Amino acid sequence: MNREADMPGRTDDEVIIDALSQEARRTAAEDAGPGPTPAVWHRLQERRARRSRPPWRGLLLAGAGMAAAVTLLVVARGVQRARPVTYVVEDAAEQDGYIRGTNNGVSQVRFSDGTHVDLAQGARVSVLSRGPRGARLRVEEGEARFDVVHLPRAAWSVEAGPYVVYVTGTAFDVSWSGGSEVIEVRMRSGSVQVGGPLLPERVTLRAGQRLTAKLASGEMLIGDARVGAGDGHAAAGDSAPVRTPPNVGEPVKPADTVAPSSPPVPDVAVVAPAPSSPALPPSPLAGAAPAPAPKPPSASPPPPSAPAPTPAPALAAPTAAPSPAPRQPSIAHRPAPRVVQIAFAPRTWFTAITSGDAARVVEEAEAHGLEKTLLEVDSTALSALADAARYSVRPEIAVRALMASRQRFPKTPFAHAAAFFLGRLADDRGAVAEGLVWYRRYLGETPDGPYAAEALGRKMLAVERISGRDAARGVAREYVARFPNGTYMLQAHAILANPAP
Amino acid sequence: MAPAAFRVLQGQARDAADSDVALVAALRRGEPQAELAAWNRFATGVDQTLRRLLGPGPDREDLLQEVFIRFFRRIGTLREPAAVRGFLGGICVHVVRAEITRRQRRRWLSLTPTGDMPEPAPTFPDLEGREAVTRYYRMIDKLSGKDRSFFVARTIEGMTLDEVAAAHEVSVSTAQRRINRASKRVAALVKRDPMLSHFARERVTEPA
Repeated sequence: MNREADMPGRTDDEVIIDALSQEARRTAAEDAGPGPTPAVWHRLQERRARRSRPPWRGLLLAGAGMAAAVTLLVVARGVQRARPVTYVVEDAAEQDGYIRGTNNGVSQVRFSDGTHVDLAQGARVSVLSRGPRGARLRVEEGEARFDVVHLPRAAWSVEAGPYVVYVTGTAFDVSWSGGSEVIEVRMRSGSVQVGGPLLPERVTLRAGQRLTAKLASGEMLIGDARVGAGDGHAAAGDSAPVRTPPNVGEPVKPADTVAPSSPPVPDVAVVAPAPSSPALPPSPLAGAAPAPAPKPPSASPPPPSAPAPTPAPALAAPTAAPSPAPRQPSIAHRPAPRVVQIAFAPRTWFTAITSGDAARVVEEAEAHGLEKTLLEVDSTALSALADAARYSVRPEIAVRALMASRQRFPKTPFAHAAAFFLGRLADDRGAVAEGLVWYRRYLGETPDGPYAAEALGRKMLAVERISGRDAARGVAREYVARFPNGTYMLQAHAILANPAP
Repeated sequence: MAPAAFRVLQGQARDAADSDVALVAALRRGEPQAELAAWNRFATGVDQTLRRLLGPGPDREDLLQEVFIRFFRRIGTLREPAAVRGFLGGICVHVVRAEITRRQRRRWLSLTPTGDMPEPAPTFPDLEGREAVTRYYRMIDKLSGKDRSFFVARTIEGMTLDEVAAAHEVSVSTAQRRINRASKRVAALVKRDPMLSHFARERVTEPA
């Protein structure tokens, strides 16, 4: 319908109103500008996403109510179950969690979940705390044998001096001498993690392995549990006679980590320069550079009941006291090493990550020796290790893997991607300037790489944080031009549209 | 009164109307890029319509978003795909009406004199024209929310009587009655304002 036809005869009022309305339209057209920016569209999408409610909201609410009821039931049952483990002490003196073994060698602590601890003669153990899934124990002195029942989400830990052994379910022995400040952990089955001085990060010990740390001399030894320590200290075979459970007479099985037909892998003794020295290899560095002229070991026979393992002379543990000047860690080999092989299959790492088993990748690399791994594996495995470390929240390992990737395989897609991830890791830990350097490097190397959009977006934000909004405008313009539907669109428009605060 | 640039009248821009139909069909099919295409095509026009309906003031992005939220939600109820722009105009009228009601409520609560954020000082050369427009909208805002909506849609937005009636879901005669009533009231208010009445008469006598 024509508007003029609607208003055939115009009165004075209509003329006035028409004039003013025309002026109003003119002013509105002047103010209109180029129209809404794309950012308004993005904000509209966000608003719609927030507002969108499914039509079956009522059903959802009912479902949520039922789920809440079920959750309450489960929680109530969980609370009922969440009683801390209890324990009974047999043939030992106990007061307020402090347990002292008797001299007859049969002292034992039995927990309600089936876990039991055998105390050697004169050994002292404390139960520091108890929870529904385990307990925190401390070996005050002497040796104790732990058989921890493997239950889902079991949480046991054993402290010995400044060391902590983290357990989920396994059998192992711990001895601690407060006088000489020596800890020894011997694995019989399963695996544990050990943390404490001389260990820059937790060490994973597997069945058949032994860790000996001497705080006074700064020595750390990780080797085969079935051979002596080489310094006359207690070993599996000659340790104090912990009460013998049925399986003690059997040969110590390194379980799945021992490959009898595998080529011999030497145990390694490492001398730490000082307790505060930088990273030590936390795990057996099998196959590391051979150290000539190992010292003659002092023999330590295997357990009498063991089925004749190779008569292994004990490890050539360094005997020199640590000198004031820092020394490089030295590596010594036994002449007739035991066969201890940690599973190490870097070719499967990529698959492991896609299967969600990133932790296994990191564990393997650490068990194999991180330095050695970084030097040995191919670019794909290195990239997988970096990813696994990131997913496992181990940024320090991720950074080393990424740096190794750039150094060993320069000018490859892995190396380029490593630059981006190094930037992101730096950015995430607050090192914005360092992150910016890596983003620039990545964009310089591969301007159209798979992470170019995110790198440019992060670069834009980094520049804004470091140099201010005005400095970031150029990057924001580039971002809008190159990635009009990118995830940093809103920030880019905000930088472009708003003046610097 | 010239029609708003955004609106496409019958007989004009046939191609645009045809592609509007195609766009509506794509929206109804839920094609992923259709909504963005609709935004690209209509957002500027809707923005200008909102400016005309509301009067001078800061950008009201939230109203623009609200229009499109309703548009996407109700596109399935559009009976005549070629009339999509009128459909959008109707949504604009409703959204602005709700906004005016909200403003009047806020004014009553005395949050600010106008129920709005203070405006920045104008930096335009035509201060007299802008002053007149500002005063004009103040007069219009003295109408009831419903009358204001009818009046603005007809006089400033330039909708036809049929469109005004359709947008407000009333008969044409009811729309006409409300517009007449509002016009008389506004004209009376304008005549009482010397600056406004002088400005309006000057504009009428100015050569085109």
